[in-house]
Amino acid sequence: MKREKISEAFGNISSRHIEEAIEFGEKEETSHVKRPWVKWGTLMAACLALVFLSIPLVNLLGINAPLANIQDGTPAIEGPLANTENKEPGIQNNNNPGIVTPPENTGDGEYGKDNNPSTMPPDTGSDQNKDPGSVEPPTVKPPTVEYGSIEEAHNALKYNTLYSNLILDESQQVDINVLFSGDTPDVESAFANPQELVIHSSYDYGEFIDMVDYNVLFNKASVDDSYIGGYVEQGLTKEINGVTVHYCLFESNGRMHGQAKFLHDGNLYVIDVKSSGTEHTLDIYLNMVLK
Amino acid sequence: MDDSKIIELFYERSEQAIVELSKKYGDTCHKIAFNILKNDLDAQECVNDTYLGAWNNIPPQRPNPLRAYICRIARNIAIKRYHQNTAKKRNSYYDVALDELEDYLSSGASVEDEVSTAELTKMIDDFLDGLDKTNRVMFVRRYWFSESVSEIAALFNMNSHTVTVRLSRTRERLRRYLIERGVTI
Repeated sequence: MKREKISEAFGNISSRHIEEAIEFGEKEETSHVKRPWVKWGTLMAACLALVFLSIPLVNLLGINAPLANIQDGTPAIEGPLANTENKEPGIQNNNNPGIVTPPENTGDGEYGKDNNPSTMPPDTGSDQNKDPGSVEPPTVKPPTVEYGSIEEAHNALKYNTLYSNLILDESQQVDINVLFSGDTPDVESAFANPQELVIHSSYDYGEFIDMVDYNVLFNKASVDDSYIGGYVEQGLTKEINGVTVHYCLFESNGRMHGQAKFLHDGNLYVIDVKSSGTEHTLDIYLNMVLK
Repeated sequence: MDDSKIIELFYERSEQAIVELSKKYGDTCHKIAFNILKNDLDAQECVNDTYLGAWNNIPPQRPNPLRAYICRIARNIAIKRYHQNTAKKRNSYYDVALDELEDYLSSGASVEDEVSTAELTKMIDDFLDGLDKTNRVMFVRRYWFSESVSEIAALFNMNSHTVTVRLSRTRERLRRYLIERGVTI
């Protein structure tokens, strides 16, 4: 009855709070909607701005603007850069250092460079590394689907991970998400290509709380994957039920932090535990998964 | 169509009122019902019952704002359906949200012995008024709309852990707020 009472009391809160919450959602959704034309429009505008800004710069360097000479038919470029091959008026010369070219791909957008596996999005290709002039097939935003249980997620994946037997603390909030590929031309193909299963959970032991993230990176057949780059790599290894587990244990921000990774069935499993207690508890969860 | 025009259609007993209501608020109602029931068919039935509820209540009522009124009907119907569906078995969504609140508001002595529902609602309203907008919207979306932490995190562009911590702090503040006003916690 107590529960119903609380539910009823909270259910009767003022309409203004309800309206505010809905309006906030609408406003935010509108502002967060990713519109392809905004992205490309912004990119094109930036390129145009660079081109226009470069004209006075070229003039400042003592170069006659190519377009200025169209009428009289004289060579477009004079001065220190006049020996470039393209003399035709109005045609952009790729050798002209006055024209800003897009930055080269540094490769930093590689999947797995983020230090935090729980916040790292899958690689969708970095826009800044793309040639704005080229036409590429459209990609979809990586769909993330939340499931109510591990079983539901497994049904959607049509595959059972080692987390089938996971025991979750039902008194705590648990989020179970599957990230599907965003690097596909349409949503259907995206859903056919799961990338990661992420389970955010916590366990309340009274005296301390463990926050545990369970991840599976599908088809990541290497424990050297930089997915957990940035963490303290201590090179600790042990065998549990025939599975080689690589792990590290350290203290961070007053929490006992442990992280393990291992391969199973061609997939990379990562278990990350942050405990508010005084001892590392990684083994509890490792044994639960690999028992 | 404006809410006032939709209400006029209800007053004229025009079935177009349902069509317009569905167009304007059907998705919102469905989302609320689905958050609680986690079943598409059940949620759709709740939405249909919501329209029926509106049809039966308007007139004589002339709700303003209409949206909050419709959402409230949808939520109440969904909760009722939820209790019917899960007389013994507990749902891991709505119950989790309610559990979070109850953890902070429960006591040996029932809350109902101390204050009436209306008083408790007034206190919660006042408490919400005292919160900053972010925490208030977060709190309402979690415990009124039963949205998941990850949905809220996405809305606020935060990670789930941050949202969980914020909600936890707000619940604790609510607990202290109620204690200060004589509610036995």
